[in-house]
Amino acid sequence: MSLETPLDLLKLNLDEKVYVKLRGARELVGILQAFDSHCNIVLSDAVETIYELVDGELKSNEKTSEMLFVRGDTVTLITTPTDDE
Amino acid sequence: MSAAQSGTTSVSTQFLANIIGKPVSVKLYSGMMYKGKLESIDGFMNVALSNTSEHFESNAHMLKRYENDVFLRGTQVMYISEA
Amino acid sequence: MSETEVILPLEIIDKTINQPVWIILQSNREFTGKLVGFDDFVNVIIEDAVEYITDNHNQCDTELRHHGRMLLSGNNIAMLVPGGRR
Repeated sequence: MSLETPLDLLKLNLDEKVYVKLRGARELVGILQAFDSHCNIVLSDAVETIYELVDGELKSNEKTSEMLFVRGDTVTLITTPTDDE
Repeated sequence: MSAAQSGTTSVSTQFLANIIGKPVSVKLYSGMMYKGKLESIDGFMNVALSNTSEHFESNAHMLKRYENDVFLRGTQVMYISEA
Repeated sequence: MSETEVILPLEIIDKTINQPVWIILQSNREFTGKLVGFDDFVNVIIEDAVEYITDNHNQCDTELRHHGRMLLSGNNIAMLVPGGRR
């Protein structure tokens, strides 16, 4: 097992802009303020995008918040975003 | 780290140590599949991948490419397979 | 007490090592392959796995072939059947 666990590597993203994929076609972009081993996360300046199929058409909705707590059980993926996200 | 703390014991720990640095496929319970180089893994099956591409179920077509390292949450991981 | 020998469930799995195994998840998904090993949580390592996404009416299973070894999380495993898929 490597010395740097995946959670250790996440520490490198603290204070940086992160992209978080959640269950149920939701994603978040924000500044990573804190996280723990359950993947509970605190994001600042967050934008949440919720995707929805309405009559077979993909719609997306955005919500913004200054500070946001995300419970870890909904988190599926975390990365740092590229320009288009 | 004891076996209980790390989440898994011998066989799987050994397997994980052996595949670090290799190309792998990781499938989540949602059916999303991530292919990339395995950078790191822990006993809870949390995974870090580099050069990641995102697929649904099979390799058939790529949905997205991630430039930066991707963290996948262990509780969502169904399997990790040598690519 | 009778003289019959008590067999632990995991002993059966242990005897399946290096043999074909059929693994059924709690969802509509199954795996076959050679059982390489497992741990206390029944996370399983299988070799040259075939993944089946089963249709409800058992009409058209989608098959995905994997080469090499696979660590399958024990979290959603419902059943392990020695001897392969029937």
